[in-house]
Amino acid sequence: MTDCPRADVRDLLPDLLHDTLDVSSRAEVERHLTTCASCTQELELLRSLRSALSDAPAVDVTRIAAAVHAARTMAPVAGHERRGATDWRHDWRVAAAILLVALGAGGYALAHASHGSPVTPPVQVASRPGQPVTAGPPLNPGAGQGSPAVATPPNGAATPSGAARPGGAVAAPSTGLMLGAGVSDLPTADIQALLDAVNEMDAIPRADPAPALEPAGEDIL
Amino acid sequence: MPEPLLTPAEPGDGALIARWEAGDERAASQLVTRHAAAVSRFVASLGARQDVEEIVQDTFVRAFASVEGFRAESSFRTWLFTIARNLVRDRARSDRTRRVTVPILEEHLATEHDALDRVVADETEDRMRSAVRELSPTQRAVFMLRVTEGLSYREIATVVGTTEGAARVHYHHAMRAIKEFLDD
Repeated sequence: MTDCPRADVRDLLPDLLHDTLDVSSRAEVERHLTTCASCTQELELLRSLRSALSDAPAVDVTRIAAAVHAARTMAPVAGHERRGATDWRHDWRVAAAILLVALGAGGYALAHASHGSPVTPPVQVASRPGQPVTAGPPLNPGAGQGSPAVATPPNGAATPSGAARPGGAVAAPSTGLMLGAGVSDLPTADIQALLDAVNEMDAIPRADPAPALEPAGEDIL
Repeated sequence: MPEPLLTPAEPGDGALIARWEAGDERAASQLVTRHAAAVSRFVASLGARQDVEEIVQDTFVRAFASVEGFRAESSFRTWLFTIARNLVRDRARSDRTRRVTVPILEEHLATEHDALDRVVADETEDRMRSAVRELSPTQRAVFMLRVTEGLSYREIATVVGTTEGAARVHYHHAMRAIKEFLDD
């Protein structure tokens, strides 16, 4: 049998099959079917095909739902890992801030030295977070200056990285930097400016953008 | 697999997605129950064989993991079909690249469609399945989405990655080929 020339109606037959036509379209198609044997036959064929092809491979819905839930519970862990990375970055920033302050102080001290000012005792700055820091000026623990000669680690023990010497000088560990001035030599405004610059690093995006779905285009198989 | 019918009292996909995003895990279970059979049927129609369930599961996991990217411009089911199709395509490419499994070729699709070959109780239905298997992959995908899932041409174009007009042409060519096969 030849196809009906009313392609517009034939286009709508699957929609009639799924009962998704609006009232007027449905009425038009049904009216056409009363006079068109070809379309009536095609609709019957579509109905049979839908029935024959409706069999779906069995899948375990409970297992799939469990996998979806499991994936969601993994998400906060991933988020926690991200936060951990952020914390590490935060620690790194603190170390960078200390380094910047120390470098600034060193420059300040050098400038003073070039004008004949006495050079203050050395300051040791940890090269990475968590490493003990020794601070400089005038630094005689017994003189009541309030500023410790050797920073104590979190456990409160004296740092093993440098042994206090009788004159208040500190032996520098191989990983430390020896600089010629203390942090307290910097003006408050300079310190604040440095800290502000570090704080601006928070603008760094904390997460990669989600991968976009690959656009469909070519044949699958 | 029986396909659940959506009654007027049940919440729509959009409402369930919102509930899922608010932390209601049962909403995801309802969505999986609602769409799993259709996704499974579509994946099988694309030529996936033993790993249909794995692909279906991966489809849902990916869909929910990036549900914030679902803009409701199409239905949730259409979105699932699109993800499923991409997964099947990626898997086929990977298989071809690794050359570990037998490449999925048209000849195989025409002869090894286990999902549709499982039970042949009726000779007429078997001939209909055979007629669909003879279609090209794109024609088969378009035809299945149109006839078994009731998608519009616009939705089909989204899933298959073509234009609405091309989807319409694929459908009519498929219909013509099926009629000719059955008339032989």
